[in-house]
Amino acid sequence: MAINSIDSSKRTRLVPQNFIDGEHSYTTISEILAGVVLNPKPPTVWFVATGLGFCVLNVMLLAVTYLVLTGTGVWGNNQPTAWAWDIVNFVWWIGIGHAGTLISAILLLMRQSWRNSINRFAEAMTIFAVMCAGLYPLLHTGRPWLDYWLFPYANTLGMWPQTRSPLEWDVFAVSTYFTISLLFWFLGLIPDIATLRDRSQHPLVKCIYGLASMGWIGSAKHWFRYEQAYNILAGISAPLVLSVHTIVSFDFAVGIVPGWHTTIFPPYFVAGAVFAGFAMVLTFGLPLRSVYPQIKDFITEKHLDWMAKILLATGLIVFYGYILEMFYGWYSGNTYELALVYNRLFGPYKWFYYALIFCNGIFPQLCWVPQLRRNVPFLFVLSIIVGIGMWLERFVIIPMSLTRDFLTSSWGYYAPTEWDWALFIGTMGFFVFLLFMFIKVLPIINIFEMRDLLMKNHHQFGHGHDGHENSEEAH
Amino acid sequence: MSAEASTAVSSLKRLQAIALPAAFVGAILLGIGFQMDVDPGKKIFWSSYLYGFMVWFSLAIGSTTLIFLHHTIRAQWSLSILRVAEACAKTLPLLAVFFLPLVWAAWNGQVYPWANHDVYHHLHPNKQMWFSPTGWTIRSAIYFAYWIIGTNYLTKLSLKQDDNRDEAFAAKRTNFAAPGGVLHVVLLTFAMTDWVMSLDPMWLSSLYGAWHMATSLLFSIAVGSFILLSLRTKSPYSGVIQPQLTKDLGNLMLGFTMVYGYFTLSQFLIIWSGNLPEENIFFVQRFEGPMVYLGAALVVCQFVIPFLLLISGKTKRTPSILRFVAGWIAVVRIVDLFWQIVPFMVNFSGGIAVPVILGAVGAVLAVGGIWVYVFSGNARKVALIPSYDPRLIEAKQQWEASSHA
Repeated sequence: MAINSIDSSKRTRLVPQNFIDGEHSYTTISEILAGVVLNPKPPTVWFVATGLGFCVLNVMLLAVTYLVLTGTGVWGNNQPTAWAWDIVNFVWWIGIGHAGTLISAILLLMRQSWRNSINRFAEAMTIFAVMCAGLYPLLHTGRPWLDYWLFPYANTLGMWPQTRSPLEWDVFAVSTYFTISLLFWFLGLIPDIATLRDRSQHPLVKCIYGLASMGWIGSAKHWFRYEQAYNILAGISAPLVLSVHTIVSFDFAVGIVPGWHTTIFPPYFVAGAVFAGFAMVLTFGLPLRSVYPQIKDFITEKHLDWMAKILLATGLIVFYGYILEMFYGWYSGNTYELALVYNRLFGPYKWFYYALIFCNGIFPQLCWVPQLRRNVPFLFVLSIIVGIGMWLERFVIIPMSLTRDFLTSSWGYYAPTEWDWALFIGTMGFFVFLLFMFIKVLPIINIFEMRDLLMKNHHQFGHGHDGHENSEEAH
Repeated sequence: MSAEASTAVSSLKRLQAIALPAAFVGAILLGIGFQMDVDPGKKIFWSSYLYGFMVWFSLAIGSTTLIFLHHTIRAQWSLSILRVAEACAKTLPLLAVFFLPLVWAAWNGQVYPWANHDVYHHLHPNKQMWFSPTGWTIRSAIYFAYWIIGTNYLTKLSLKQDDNRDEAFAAKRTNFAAPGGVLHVVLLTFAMTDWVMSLDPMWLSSLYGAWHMATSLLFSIAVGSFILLSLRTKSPYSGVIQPQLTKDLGNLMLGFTMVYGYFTLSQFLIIWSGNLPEENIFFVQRFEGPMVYLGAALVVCQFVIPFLLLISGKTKRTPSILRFVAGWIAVVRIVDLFWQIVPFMVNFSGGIAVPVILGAVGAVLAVGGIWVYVFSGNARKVALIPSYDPRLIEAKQQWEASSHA
């Protein structure tokens, strides 16, 4: 069979790509990545961003304090819009976290080596985003000091949570998601924390990293156990990518409000979450490459290209969902569904809907152009636009449907208050602050996985730079 | 054993030889079912025919999805079953011919309720606009034309590259398959709305198109894996079988089995919770008589059993076990399509009537016999492993080198 006599010069596009640019050794990788943390003088931008994040974080604290003291009436929520920005922002934040889990778990199981450069900070974003998300339902209960009632525990009140409600499923889904993501993230950090312990000079810093590295010495037994635990956690995390946002979609879909009750919601919500998550990875990853230019060899243009492709693919799934919502609304002939279609196109929030279609449906189509997938300014603008679009999607689904429900007498118009704004902007500050603190204390890129990738590259391509040219030489 | 006897081609020849007699037996069974069908509209016959058509269409369209997906991402995992998928997709012109009786039925008030004037005039104006025999026929023609042209184009470029090894063909395939795949998904969604969902014009589920897409893809992967693993000792497959390959195929089936479970549960839970009459009719029909037990058995056989088997590393490493699982999935897919399609037209509250069984088995065999004949002929004509892509053979060589070391 001719398969045995393949002309090797004809297969340049089939070999795996090299995801490390430039000339690197194991030492330079450790020096560069650990140096970001151990450098006593971070760049000025780091101080500016952390300071800004801290200031805005205080806006969140103010908003939370005022809300706890006064009650949820400070928000714009009122009948018929009992759910508004609190749920919009909850879904938006929790969606953002999904890219981290997808990158760390699913891409790991699919043996996608390009994930190694971005999984660490994407996982950190997952954890911080879930923290921001969790705040909203906890506050929306009205009495956050009694939130532990959400958990089924033996009590003297004779009260149990309503297990038939998807809101109760959220409690388990989100808390499991947060716990597993945190464990997964910390486990992956242990070898790198040990590297920081070995490289740090200050005794106190050495001691802290030493404690956090849990006695890691890099022995064969340690690596064996590490690999086993990491793969098990990856296996547990992979279904979480689907389950969390599916359950979030059930919050709406199991009800019969027009615009909520549609069976496409679960996969469309999951795709939307990954779409928003990858956009956020780009929103922070691209400026990080500018602030720390030394990491450009590890987050290369090939990574940007892959992320843009995933954005395009998930964006198309989301757009498919929008088309089906409108088509089946029209096809159903149901009065309320038809009213929803009309309301989205011509109602008081029509510009939100048009903006949503532009942001998530039309603008990301530019990613079909290969040059744009590697164009940093374009990708940054795209990531912001997608972030806005995904927020608009939740707004279009939630308040837009609620303000035009079954009874015209109960129709209304929703507008957020300054406290809605303060909390939302405040959570952004919280997120930014945590992210920049993370950059300063832990490696943003997985050091040992990059070294492992370098070793594999040497086997695959020989010692050199780009995959294509070197593969030619190697073969 | 002669050299020819040990090749996959000779096995396909034997398969082709038994296909036409099977079709003949199927046609007789379908004919008996038709005679025994006392319904004036011959609902049992038509539901059986549509079911028989959909089984083989599902396999062909799942292969079409696989081809579009394979060339879009230049996958390695589907390389070993690509040529089987291409041979399946090449049966689409035959399936278009098998579709003609359904077109006749739509124009003569059969099969589809909206095709009946009395029902049509009671439909909402939007549905009247969507469902006219003319519009439905034109849309169906567009679906088939696109799939036939699209898969032929991709297959042609793939085969051409086997001859001249020009890398430009790979780029051409990707450039077509990526946007072409997007259109394929949209067309498949509308096709399932037109051909299956409209069997009850009041019913709708926005996930239904995606459900058919995912399950047909699982069907195609399972059949491709079954063929590959059945012929694993024969050339050219014997040159590529190694644990990483079977692991990839097993993981693919596991992944899509999970997608099946996920989509099915999501659709059920949302419709069941909403409990709206125009939606829950789908499950009311399928919870009648023996259908409820069949439905429960499908959950176990199509999700629980393959999931538990495929999660084990041993299943994925052992070709004979994996072959069994692939065959199991394919058979259960055929049964599931019965549960999906026939209750739209036949009431099962009194049990399963003999003509229904005869008609269903007959239709699957009648359409399937001719389909398998054409499929085997298509598969025999081509190199069963794309020779332009060296990844499979390289992986096998690397594995052999590492095992000897």
